[in-house]
Amino acid sequence: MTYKMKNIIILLSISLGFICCTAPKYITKKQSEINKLDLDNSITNYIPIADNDLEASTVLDSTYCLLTNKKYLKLEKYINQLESSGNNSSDFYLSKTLLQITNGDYPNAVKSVRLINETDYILLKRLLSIDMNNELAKTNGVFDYNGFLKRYQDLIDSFPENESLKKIVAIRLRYLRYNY
Amino acid sequence: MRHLFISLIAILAVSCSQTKMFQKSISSYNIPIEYLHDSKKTNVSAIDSITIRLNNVPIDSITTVSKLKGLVLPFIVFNYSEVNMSVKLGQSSIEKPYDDFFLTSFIEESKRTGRFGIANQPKQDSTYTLDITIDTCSTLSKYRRSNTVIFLLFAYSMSFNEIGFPAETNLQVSTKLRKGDLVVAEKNYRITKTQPFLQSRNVSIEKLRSDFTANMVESLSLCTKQCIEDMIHDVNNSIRN
Repeated sequence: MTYKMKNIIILLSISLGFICCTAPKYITKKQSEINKLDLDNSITNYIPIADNDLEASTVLDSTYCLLTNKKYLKLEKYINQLESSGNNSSDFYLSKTLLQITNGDYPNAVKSVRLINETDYILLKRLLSIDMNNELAKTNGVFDYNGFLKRYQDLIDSFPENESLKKIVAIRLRYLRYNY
Repeated sequence: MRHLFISLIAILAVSCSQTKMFQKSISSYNIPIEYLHDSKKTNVSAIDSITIRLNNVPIDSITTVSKLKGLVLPFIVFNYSEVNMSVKLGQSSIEKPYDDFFLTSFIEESKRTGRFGIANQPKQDSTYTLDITIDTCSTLSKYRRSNTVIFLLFAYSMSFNEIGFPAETNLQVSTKLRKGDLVVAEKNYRITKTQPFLQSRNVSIEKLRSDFTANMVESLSLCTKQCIEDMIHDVNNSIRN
């Protein structure tokens, strides 16, 4: 084995290790599981999926199972299958958004989240929309902390009874402050 | 003897410059202080109006670093030195002037949960005046730099490490609620808080220092939040009586 080949193998193994060890920035979790966590000392950005939504939608449930088991390639195939079969339901677009977020493909996630019907997944659509716009702003170097704080504030004020959402959004802001 | 003297001078010079360099590095971060208002909006109509006067904001203009007791273990095959620094948060590390932040946060929170409106000028006897005096506003934290050198037979190993500790805020505020010239209520608030430092793994020194500064600003921000919520709760009760 030549010296150059050895170097390539070492570099490849380091990159593979890095990819395997890098956790996604956003973690999709069932609301009932989020409720069990201590969110006060957390910096993990959770995407809460309501338990009834999972029970009601086979597409979303399958997506959630594949995401939690880290079967991203299978999920990609599944999403492509649904797309080629002409599925344009909100469940499908939400599933596609979740996959794109996990892959860090924020520009396309913004597009997918917009295609979710206005009357479906209202909270999640608004939350993800702010998240994705914030990611794009950071990428473009035009990030405005106070602007995003206001948008998150409006979101929690629209759902005043949702205590879990307040904690989830507080973590988002902590994350923004630490990555300003 | 001469060598020992020179070594001591060198160690002293290095540790002094470390403190200065650290202060310079940490002053370059400008962290936002605004927080999320998570109180439930009460939507009650205002009973009366209040004029707010913020009297004193005792926050240092710049973030300062001072040296604490360190540790040096100069063995033959193993050298370890540790520099501990105390950091006091100043205005230079906060994006918005603290007095502006305090007032805007108070006004915002009073819109959500207050039973009073905010007036710009005292107009008549029915208008209350709230004198707010910030007696103490200090956020302190500790930062450690350490380095280890191990001498082997034909080689040596050297490692540097930096650790940030949780920030502690001490905020003491006294208020006087006046109706005309009459003092209706007087109260002192003392909020102390230790904010956990959620240190990410495998981050660069710059990121660690930025996170460390963010932790201090976060601590002050959340202390102020708690203080303002308590103040508005008490003003509501005083006005109602």
